[in-house]
Amino acid sequence: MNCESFDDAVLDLLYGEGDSAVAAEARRHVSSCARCKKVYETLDLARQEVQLEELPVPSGLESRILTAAALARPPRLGLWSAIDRFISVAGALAMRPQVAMGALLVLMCGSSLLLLRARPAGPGSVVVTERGAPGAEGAVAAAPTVAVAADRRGTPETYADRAADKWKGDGKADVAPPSAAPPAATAMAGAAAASAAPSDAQVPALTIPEAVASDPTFAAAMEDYRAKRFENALRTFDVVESGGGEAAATAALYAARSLRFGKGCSAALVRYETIPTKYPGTPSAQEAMWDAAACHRELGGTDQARQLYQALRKTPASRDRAEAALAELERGRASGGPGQARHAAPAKAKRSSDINNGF
Amino acid sequence: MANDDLPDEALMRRYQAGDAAAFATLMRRHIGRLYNFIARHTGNRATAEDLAQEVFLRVVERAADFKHEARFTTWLYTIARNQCIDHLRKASLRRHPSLDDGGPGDEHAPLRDRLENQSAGNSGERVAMDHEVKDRIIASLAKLPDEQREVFLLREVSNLPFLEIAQVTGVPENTVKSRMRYALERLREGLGDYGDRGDHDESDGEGLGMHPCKIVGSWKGSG
Repeated sequence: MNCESFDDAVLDLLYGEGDSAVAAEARRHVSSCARCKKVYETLDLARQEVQLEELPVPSGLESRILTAAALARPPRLGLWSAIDRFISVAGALAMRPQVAMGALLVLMCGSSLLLLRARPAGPGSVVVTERGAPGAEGAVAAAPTVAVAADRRGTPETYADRAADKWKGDGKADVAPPSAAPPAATAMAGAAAASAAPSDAQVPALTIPEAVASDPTFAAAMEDYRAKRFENALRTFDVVESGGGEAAATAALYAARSLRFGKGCSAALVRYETIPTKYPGTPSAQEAMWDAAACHRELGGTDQARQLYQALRKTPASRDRAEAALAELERGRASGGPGQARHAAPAKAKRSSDINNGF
Repeated sequence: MANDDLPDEALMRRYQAGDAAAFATLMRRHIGRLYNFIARHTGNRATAEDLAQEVFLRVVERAADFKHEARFTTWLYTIARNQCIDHLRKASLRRHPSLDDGGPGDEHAPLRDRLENQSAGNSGERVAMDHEVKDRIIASLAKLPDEQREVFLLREVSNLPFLEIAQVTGVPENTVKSRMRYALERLREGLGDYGDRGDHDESDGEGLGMHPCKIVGSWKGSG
């Protein structure tokens, strides 16, 4: 090392940064060069002399910052950032020919389904309730999400209003119905997927304990859930569940629901089915069984759904609802499949024969 | 894993996911150095208190925009530096009292007061010498060009490595090192008399000398 390269490395040597081999070389150079030794010692001396005393943080500053932070808006992806990100991702995907071919295939399948669904259905099939949709603070999805199935004879508003009236008539007006169904639920409804039992609205809502609802992390997750940011909600509910405690069971249920509305029933089923094992005897375990049954029905697994309803029937609080669900299941089977077909996800190949038979 | 054991970036991820406790951990971890950096940069403790609070509020407001492409401290001190620059620009026509000029009613008594208490049994001459050394350091720091002062403070007070300082200040790393070297040399010059006095005590005149900081250290230790 010469004096010029030593000058470049002297501050790294002084502060213990940079490459260790260079530092070792610089140290060797210092021991043999009087000029560089003086440079190093001068800087080292200066560094020791100008040590600044650490000022104490004023008392109360930390609490003031935390209070101000709590009042400030929570971390949320900005609108423009979200739009930017969406455009960049969509643009990158759109450039792939496979995506174009896939889109064409989906278009063809969708138009075929529209032709199938255009056939008239019974009047009882037009209102679909979907439990588990985002609801009001402190109450879990007690309100049915109203969607309109493939009945072309009426207007959507007519059926929506009718369902809303039914809702009020059930004495649940204290819990406002959600303004919109999650995207996945809407899509399922649009495809004539009615996954929940008709008697859902009569079942008391799962009330979130105040201690759980007031947990800031849980509240943030619920906010994401209601805003249909299911991916964020899932992640945060998982964090809450991993923390254990009173909120764990409720968080596990909502994590499963986030997965269901975000990625569909097939992705959520495993989660639903582990909740009764992990949190036996809790209201969340019961709700998970209801949701799992609905998912099984949606995916065509009527036997699994029946087993769950039968298990739920053993609980006094759920008996009437479970019997109603079982009766509905049997009616669907006895009528040769139309009811079941309307509840089934059209994308499932194994359900396609039922759909064709029913329509 | 407990928040205290997590690195800054993992805490930021938790906070972005809605964990308010992660923010509290981050804030407590960095408030000391951040406050000191701002206080030394602006030369005013009350201003430093306000600006430190403002910096963390910016962190809250922009948390969703933090992309984890850089270290959290780089982002934090970039915000803090911008806050300081804005403040100094606005206050360029006003004059603030010196950081260590705490008046009689100043509840945050400057270091010299604490040293006076600690050194009650020591000679008045040494206490007076220590006061003058500190005044000179503060005065020399205030005289440094802004770009040298901020590099010096980011390295010595905030303990950021040179590479990170380069990212915070937006200049090449070699430029940062040059500024640091100039800053050290100028600050050393500001203490010239005391350094020289110490050097004269050494027999060969070339050694490190009994410079004032070492004197302070020795009697602090004995007190």
